[in-house]
Amino acid sequence: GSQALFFQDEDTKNLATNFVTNYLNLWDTNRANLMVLYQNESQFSMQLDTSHPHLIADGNSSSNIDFGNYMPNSRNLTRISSGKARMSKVAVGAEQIYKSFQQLPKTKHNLVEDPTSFSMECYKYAPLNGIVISVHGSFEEAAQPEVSDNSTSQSSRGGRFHSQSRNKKPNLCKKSFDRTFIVLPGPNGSMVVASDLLLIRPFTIDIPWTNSHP
Amino acid sequence: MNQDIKPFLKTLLASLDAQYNSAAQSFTNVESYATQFGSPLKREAAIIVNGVPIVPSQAEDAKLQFQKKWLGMPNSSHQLTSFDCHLIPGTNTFIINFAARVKFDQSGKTRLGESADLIQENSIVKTARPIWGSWFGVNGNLVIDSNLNAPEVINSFDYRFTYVPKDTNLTV
Repeated sequence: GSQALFFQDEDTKNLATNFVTNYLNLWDTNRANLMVLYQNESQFSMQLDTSHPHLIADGNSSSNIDFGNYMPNSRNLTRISSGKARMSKVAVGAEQIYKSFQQLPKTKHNLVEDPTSFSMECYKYAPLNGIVISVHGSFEEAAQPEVSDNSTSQSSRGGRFHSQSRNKKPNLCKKSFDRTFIVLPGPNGSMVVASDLLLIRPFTIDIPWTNSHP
Repeated sequence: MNQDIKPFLKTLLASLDAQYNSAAQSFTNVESYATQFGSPLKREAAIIVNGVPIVPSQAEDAKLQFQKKWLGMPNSSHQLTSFDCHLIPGTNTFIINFAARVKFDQSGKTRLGESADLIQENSIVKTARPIWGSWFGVNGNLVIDSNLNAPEVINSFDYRFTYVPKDTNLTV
């Protein structure tokens, strides 16, 4: 069998569903409001898996798949070997993490309208008395990132081969994703995100967890 | 330290893909074969497969239950397509989020070469070569100890199909 949602117990269930619902709502509307969750040692990075299997359907042809907004910052470690590059693609602390968030397209997650298109697992993270929350689903790209990464890629590459493409904004389209948080209890009942790993992959309309019958 | 994660993940996936009898490798008995699936798992590891937890019993820990479950699956072939990880300060643990694609043997045989067909049309199977199906998508999450030299380092293992192809006969 297969099931969409797994929670270790009732407490983690309430904690995790509230966390993810509020998180994705703010992620879509105002990412600055999420920064209270991140502390000096918190880490965030994004990885891109362009080759991930997906259903190729109408309106989802390859011309519709544009990863231009993610490519420069992707920390897919199967493709990055230098230690320096590996380190530079992790954001540490609220300030750096917020900069990374601003470089990602604005989004709309239909969690409230279409909850069955998401799946989630949640279980204990013993070392710091926290929990691991993994969310799987998809989102629409609603607008270009607040801050574009073009300035950095220009300086590092010298702009010899990229002068044409640099001015062209990537197409906005749907994406599928997997995102894993380590959430710890903070002071006064608050929560702290110690680790935040976002994986971006081609949109698939066909998802295994809606096919199963409970 | 991050440099060691890639070979670790590849070895882990290779253990899930090992064949009982192949040109490269052959096991002396079923036990030695089954116990190498996910061998870096700790006995008490939290294991979740497609949202369903492996529940340990008094007689069998989570690792053993997982290995038995995996033994009942057809042969597999994983390809690691992406991974990222963070070392969590002060804990000596890594969290890993990886993506892979996997295809399964569609010949109708289990990993031990057994078929559920009572009447076997091809009673003489010469070389039991797998007939690979289409790619499935996988997302995996692991919490592992940073000392990768220890034999058992995986504290939690969360394995989720993100995409199942239409032409599969595998029940997920």
